[in-house]
Amino acid sequence: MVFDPITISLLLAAAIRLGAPMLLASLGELVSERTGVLNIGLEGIMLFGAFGAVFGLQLTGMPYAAVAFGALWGMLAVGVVAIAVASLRADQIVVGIGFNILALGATSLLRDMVLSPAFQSPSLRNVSSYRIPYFSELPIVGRAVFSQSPILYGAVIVAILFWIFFRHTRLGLIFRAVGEGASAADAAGISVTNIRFSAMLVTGIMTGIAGAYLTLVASGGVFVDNITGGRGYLAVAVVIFGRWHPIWVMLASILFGAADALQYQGQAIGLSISPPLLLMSPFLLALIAWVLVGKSKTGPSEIGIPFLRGQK
Amino acid sequence: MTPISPGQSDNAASAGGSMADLMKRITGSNAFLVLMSFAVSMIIGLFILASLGVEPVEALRVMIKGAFGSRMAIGDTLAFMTPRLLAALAALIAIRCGFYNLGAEGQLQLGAIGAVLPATLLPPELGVLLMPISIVSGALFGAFWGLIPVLLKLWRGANEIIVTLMMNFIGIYLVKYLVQGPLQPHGSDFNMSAKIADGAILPVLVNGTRLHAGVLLALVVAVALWALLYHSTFGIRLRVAGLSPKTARLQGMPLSRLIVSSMLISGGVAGMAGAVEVLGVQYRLIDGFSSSLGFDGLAIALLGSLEPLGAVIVAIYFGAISSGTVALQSTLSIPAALALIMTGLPIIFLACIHGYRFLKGRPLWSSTL
Repeated sequence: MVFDPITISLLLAAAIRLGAPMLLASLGELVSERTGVLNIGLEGIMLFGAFGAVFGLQLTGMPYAAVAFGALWGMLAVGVVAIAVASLRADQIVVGIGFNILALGATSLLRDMVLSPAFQSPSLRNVSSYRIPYFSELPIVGRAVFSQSPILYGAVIVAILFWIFFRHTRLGLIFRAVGEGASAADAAGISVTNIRFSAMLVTGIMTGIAGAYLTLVASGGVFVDNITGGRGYLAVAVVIFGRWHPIWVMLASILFGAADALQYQGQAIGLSISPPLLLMSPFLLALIAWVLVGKSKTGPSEIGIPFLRGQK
Repeated sequence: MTPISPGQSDNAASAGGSMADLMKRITGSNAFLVLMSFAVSMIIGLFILASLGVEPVEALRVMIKGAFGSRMAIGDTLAFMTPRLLAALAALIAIRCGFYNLGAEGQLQLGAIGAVLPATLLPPELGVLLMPISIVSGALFGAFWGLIPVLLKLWRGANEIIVTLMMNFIGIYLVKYLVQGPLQPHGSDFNMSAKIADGAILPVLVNGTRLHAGVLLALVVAVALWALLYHSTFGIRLRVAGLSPKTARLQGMPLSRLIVSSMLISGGVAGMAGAVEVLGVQYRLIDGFSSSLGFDGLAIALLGSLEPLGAVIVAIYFGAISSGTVALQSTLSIPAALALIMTGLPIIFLACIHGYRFLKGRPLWSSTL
């Protein structure tokens, strides 16, 4: 294996770049899970966001408008899941599984119907990176950390904001209360349905942007069928691996991004592992994470349980 | 999620009664709700077809003809049904025990690997003996893959939903790795293994169709699991453990052992699904051979009220949707993605109906996450 500053810098840059969609989606999922909703449908929502972004790019030609489109599509997609889960109390896992199958079919059909061929094959349009002055001149980490897409910087800021929100604000406390004891929160006059619904909307927006990032930044403005390839499921695992804490989730995302990056950068550092095994590595990492994190979990206690007034 | 058998309708006590009562009982039954979800999905599907510029009636005619119109069509429908039914049976036996096995997809990948190994590596002189050996080997590989999430749950408290989902992808990439490397014949550029020995091939049942003997295996497994669930002590315990782990524990049932056994069966049956697909349809291990059979199976299990008989009926419907959309694609060039939409929609509808009934105080499904 070769370890010179340039390859390490490239690997780090790729790890962060590929960790970003995971970070965005898992931060979104974190909000839902804190209120007691386990959103397996993340994969499908991300897929809709990814499609929406490329569709937006085709309509407007402006990358940032495309990101907004991705967010909007993510929000609409989550709206469907939220009506089923938060309002109608449908089983969260069942709806998630159904929604993911639906999303795979719907985005493929929509791609066929509305996307022009240029947006189905590689090209160079994407959201440009922004070099943070001074910091981007630092050796090794300079180019890797401080010369990324502005969306990534936004995600980091959001992570910190979420941390403050859940730790230091009254509304954050209410969100957590709904996840820890929905009946008690209900008795205290909090609308469990409204809180869960709004938490899921945040999840949808974040996951939609994650899908937009995946297509616009990580794959050059192209949508192909099943472009998410399990990243939505991974993001759910990242939240658990990061123990429902925004900052840990951020670090976990970069770790998973690094596993993802090895498939592109592995050759450069002289790592001769077959590509499918490298593609497998993030999922393997998630599994190992379970062995390590184990029973010491501190997650919301009512996760996955539909709320019914008067039932314990 | 704790399933309740369809017969156990909330109005079952008020037998007899007026016409209105009867209507209420019909509309409250599980089968009716499932039918409604399918009907609404079908209508939406026809709307999508109309928006694609296809005459809905014509499309429906092509689909039905493609699914049941000829001997070949029926053979195709049943061939499509076979792996999906096995995957569905795998999912339901685990979920009935309260273990949310979302990993049928991964377990059937392992099953395919397990079937291909003896079918390509053992001496072909073994002849037809290779077929049972390959199927059993596939089941064992699937069972092994199913055992890992249970052990992780019992040992480390790992959430089986996440673990089984992760293991799906590990299984998929394992197949990808094997067909690009160790199992790829020398000098071949295709991502597939060598062809299996003739003796391992599941024979075609009706000449001129793709229907193979795997369908009989699937039906036998369905009957076996029904008998196991409803006519054995193990089955009763398994259902109690699924409905109320607390009761099971208070009754002194060996809860861990029950979950482990149900997952061994579940993984084994899912492994058979993969094995049957390799030995009856593909004759090789091919990258991406499954096209989400495992998730289809999960969908079928849920739509079939987690009953073996329900799974058989819904699996035939899914087989018909598959062969019907193939016909749509070849005659009217409608994208096959429509089949995915027609799979996902009824699940969401049914879950919503059940959730709404739960909200109104008539629990049918409730989460035991």
